[in-house]
Amino acid sequence: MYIDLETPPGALVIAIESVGGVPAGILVRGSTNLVALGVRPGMSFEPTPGGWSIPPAGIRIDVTGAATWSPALPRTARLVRGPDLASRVAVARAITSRSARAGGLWPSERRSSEEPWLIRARALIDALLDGLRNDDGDRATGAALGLVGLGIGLTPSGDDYLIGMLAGLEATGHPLHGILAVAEDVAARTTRVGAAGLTHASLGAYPERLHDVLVAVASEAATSRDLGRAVERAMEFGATSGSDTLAGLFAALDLPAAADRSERPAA
Amino acid sequence: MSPVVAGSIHRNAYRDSVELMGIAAQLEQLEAVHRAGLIMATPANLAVLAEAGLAEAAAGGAGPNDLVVAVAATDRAAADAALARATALLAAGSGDPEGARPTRPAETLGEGLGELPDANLALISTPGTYASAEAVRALKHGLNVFLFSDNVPVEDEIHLKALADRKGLLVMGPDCGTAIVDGVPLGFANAVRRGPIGLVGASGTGIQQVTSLIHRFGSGISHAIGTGGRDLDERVGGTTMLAAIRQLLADPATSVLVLISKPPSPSVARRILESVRSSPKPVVVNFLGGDPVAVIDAGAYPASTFEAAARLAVRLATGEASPADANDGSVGAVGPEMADLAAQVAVRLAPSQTAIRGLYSGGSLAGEAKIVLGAILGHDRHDQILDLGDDEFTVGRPHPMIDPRLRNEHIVAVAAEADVAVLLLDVVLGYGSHPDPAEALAPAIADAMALAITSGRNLLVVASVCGTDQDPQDVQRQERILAQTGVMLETSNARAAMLAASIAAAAAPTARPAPLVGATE
Amino acid sequence: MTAGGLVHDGGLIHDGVRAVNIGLAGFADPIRAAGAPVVALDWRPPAAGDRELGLLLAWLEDDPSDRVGGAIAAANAQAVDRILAAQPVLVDVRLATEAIDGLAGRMLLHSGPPIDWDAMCGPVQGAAIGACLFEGWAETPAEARKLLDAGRITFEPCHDHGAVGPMAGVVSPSMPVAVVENGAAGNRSFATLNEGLGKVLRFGAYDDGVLERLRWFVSTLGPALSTVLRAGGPIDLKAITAQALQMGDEGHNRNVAATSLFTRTIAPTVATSLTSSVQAEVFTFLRGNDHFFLNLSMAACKAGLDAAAGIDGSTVVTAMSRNGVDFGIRLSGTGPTWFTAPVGVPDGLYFPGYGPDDANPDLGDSAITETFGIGGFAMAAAPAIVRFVGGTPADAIGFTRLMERITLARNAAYGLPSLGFSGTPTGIDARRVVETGVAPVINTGIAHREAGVGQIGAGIARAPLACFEAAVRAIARDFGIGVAA
Repeated sequence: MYIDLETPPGALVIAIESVGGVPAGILVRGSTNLVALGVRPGMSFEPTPGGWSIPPAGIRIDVTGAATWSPALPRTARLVRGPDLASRVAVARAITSRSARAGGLWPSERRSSEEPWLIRARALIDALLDGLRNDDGDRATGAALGLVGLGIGLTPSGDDYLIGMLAGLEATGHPLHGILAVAEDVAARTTRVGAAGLTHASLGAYPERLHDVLVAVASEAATSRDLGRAVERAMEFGATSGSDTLAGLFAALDLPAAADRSERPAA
Repeated sequence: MSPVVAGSIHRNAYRDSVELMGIAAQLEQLEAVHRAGLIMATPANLAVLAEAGLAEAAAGGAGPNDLVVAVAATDRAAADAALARATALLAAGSGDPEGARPTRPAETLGEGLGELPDANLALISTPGTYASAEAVRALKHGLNVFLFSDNVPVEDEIHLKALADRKGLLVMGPDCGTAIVDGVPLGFANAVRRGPIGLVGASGTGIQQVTSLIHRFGSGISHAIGTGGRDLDERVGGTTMLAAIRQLLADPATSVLVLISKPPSPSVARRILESVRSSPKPVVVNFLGGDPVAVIDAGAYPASTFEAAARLAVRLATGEASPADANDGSVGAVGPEMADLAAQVAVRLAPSQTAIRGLYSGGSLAGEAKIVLGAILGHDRHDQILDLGDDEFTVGRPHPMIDPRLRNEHIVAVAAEADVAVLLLDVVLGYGSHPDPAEALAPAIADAMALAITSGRNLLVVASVCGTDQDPQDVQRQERILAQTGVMLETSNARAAMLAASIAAAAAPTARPAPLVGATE
Repeated sequence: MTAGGLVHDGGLIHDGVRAVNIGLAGFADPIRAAGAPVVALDWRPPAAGDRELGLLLAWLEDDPSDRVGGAIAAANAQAVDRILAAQPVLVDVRLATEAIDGLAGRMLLHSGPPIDWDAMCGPVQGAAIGACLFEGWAETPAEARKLLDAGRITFEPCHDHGAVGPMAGVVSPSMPVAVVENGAAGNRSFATLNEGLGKVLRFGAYDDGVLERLRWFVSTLGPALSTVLRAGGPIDLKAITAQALQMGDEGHNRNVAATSLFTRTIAPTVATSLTSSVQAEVFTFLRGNDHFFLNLSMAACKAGLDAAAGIDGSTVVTAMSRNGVDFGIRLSGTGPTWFTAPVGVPDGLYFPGYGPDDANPDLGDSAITETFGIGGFAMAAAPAIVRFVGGTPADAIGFTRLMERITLARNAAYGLPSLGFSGTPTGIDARRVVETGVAPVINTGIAHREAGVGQIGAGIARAPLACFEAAVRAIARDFGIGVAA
């Protein structure tokens, strides 16, 4: 459930507890279905002492007893490059590839023809990765901006990809991590929800399930079962949002480190 | 004649990509429609529309939070029809509040009983934390309970079954995966012919295997009552099994009983066997790995595998069997055909390959496999039989009988283990199971076999398909796909385990040889 | 609502399967495909996911074969019968100290559960000051404050004396009160006369205008109504309420139809038994006070619910009330015990110039109307109310339908046209409230938190679930359930 606020970054999310932490999110316990309780688009959303309310539906959201969670990447999500990391990323990527639904950035047998937006997206992704590998900030930024708002769905695939990428770049300490933090006008280029997600990501705030994937990939003791579990939970977001976000994340993690950036990049 | 491009704009419409793709696909199926797309009108997407020649569709000032439906069609009429269809499909999916208010569906048991006042069974598959309360509620309203949920504390189970006993009701569970009552499948169950054999089981896939085989052997079942995995534990005392036995003994449609479980506590086993001691109907007892002598003493027929139980029950039902058929409880011997086959394929193994790895979706089938392997090969080995439906694997993820991904990961991982000679699998069909398990497994099996070959090894895969020709999945197709992938199929789990054991025995001649005395049926 | 789960020798396998599916939706499909009837619940964890409370609720379910379940079912049936059978009539208007037992000396009654002077909110303190001035216990507000600060005035809840009061609900010994008698059970209840809107005592105002009006009640309106009732006979409040519910009233926030019917009912007797100057004053007052019937409506509901109080084992709610700090409820089975939780500000629309920061937390005994099944529970009768919360008439109907989930009966005497004349949802079962998480909805006015400013808006409040959870736990304890594991 998304609530549009006037203040930046623009959208507040109300979700059930099992979704996991979300930037600017409120998680409610149980399987409370706000729609079934009569909440409809267009209803007013008012602050109250102790939280918020949706008066037309007679609903009050009381956050006074709520636990808080930080959307910033935890220390355990910081990654050290090396062959072990690369192999864990490969396993996570393989699992994602096998399970990703059609309609996003991952290849799928169910797609009979290449859609125009996907062709364009791939070209922009190539340019973006090229720019990042060669420290070409302008090329990277230009490509990234082109990805904003590209694709179908409530959050366009391009936005999801960039959010995952930003998380990966931050986790590995890539110097071009701030590529979108300087970009203005993101809001006009994409949907409200996409813009909110990108703004959060450019401020270092990511969904908890994305944290979990990074933590799993960072952990030397992680088994393929652990990786699979974290990846699958991340893919439960939306129809293709989760897997598109992971596409960006894995691409960022595969970028060569500063020391060997002049070498051939991994595929 | 260039196509007509038309579009409609839906302000502030929020849909996920799968729904939008589905609508686009439906539009493209319409006659005279060349192309259709539904996208949010972000600048990037509008540029894509322009490249595709559909720019006019977004004319009219669409912003990034507006949904554009774009179509290219042969003529204006077709384009308009497509746009109208899109609007209808979008409205249908939105739960439009201005539209007709649907009646609120029942949420609580009390409300559900308002719709079906003479209900007599509650199927409970809520998370375990809440399952006990739902079961208590159901019993208090006079309903029997099928309790699929697990992670229910044993204290709760004891209270539930005491309450049920007081009220003359059945609690099937907790952790009861399978039952068939009056031909109605509950939980994971196979489509099985009606007939004179009644089952009571503390093993879900055990019930599935026995009922499927009874069907394959030409007979049928009256009812199959699950008791839940812990019913025969000391603390619970077998309450449900005892109650179910009473009901089946009194049921005119049942002429043979079959009881299956892993070994119950001794006192509970005694109590159960006492309850069938003077039964006028023959009773087959498979307490997996349990003591056959006690069974014979009670006047019942021991069977040590699910297949043996099914065979014996069918023979008893048709009157072909006699007290002499009570076997000695051994697992049975490997016949000469199976031994030959084992010897043939064993030569393809590399010297390092000696062990058996079982990756099971059914717990009872895994248990049976362990018993069979132990009986044939002894216990001083490095085999490993995993029940992937066990709690440690299923917390937070779907059960392997529904979702093959976890098992597939394990299958591929097995290929990297140099000591594995045979991979042993169960493929369980029926209601509730994956719609096409063989199709889902085949690529992983093929990958694993290929991976093993690149390391100079030959991974042998043995499996059995638990199911009937009436199940929703096409059992012949399942078997065909597996066979084409190179899987060696046997007709029962017990046989599959025996074949795996025979291969392992043939591969390591210093191990105890499989007995060749007699033949299984 | 017990099922016909037939229990005989054959058991389940003899009866065939008729199922209710609770949990994963997919399990219902094979049953349906096999031709057996199945209802699939849209299930969610009861009691907001509290496992222990959910179990308690399950053990408290109706069950004729069980000591606990049988007792609760029988007790609730009796409570509901008494509520539905109520026959409230207005019999008299008398001074409070004469009509109400135990109200004497320097004592003031107030709305809501018990509360001390120094904890009271602004409007209630203002009303107490006004009452002291009205009674002559003090000459100035400052003197009155000193008396109150010194603890020289005793405070008790209206509810403990068979009375109910809107907003601050302050009743002092010299105030005239309406006397309502429940013809079916013989018990009586009391309420002051409604002052109207603007600067009134119940919102905490105590200026000269307020005190003058209160004195006019004593000198003129009270005796006039008493005369009318003696001359013309008691007035059937149930009949007026039933009619008013079909004319756009709901009995709490919209009372103009009932007030008009009341005025019409007494008009002939007024014309023949009062002097013409008094007639003019009475009619002028009634014409200017759309909410006059509210206090009578409240007393009628109180009379009906009090008759259902004190039935051992009943989980039916007999009172809901607020004192501006706490929300309190009572169950029939736990007698006079209050189950309280902090109360918040209602959600609604504010008159121009005011906002949520100005609002007083929810206040008043008027939730007795919802407890009886009218007010917010009858919102389907008064769609105009939902304008205050930005909803549509369909939403008003939705609220009444929602309240059906937590009540045990429909009051056929109060049929609502927009629901096909089906009766108002009556007999709130605390078990259902906790199980479904659906809190009773209350239509209410919003007071300014400073004494004397008055009403600043109107809207909807939801009773705190914590009260019902505590009440359910108390009933369970009484039955000895939930003590061990």
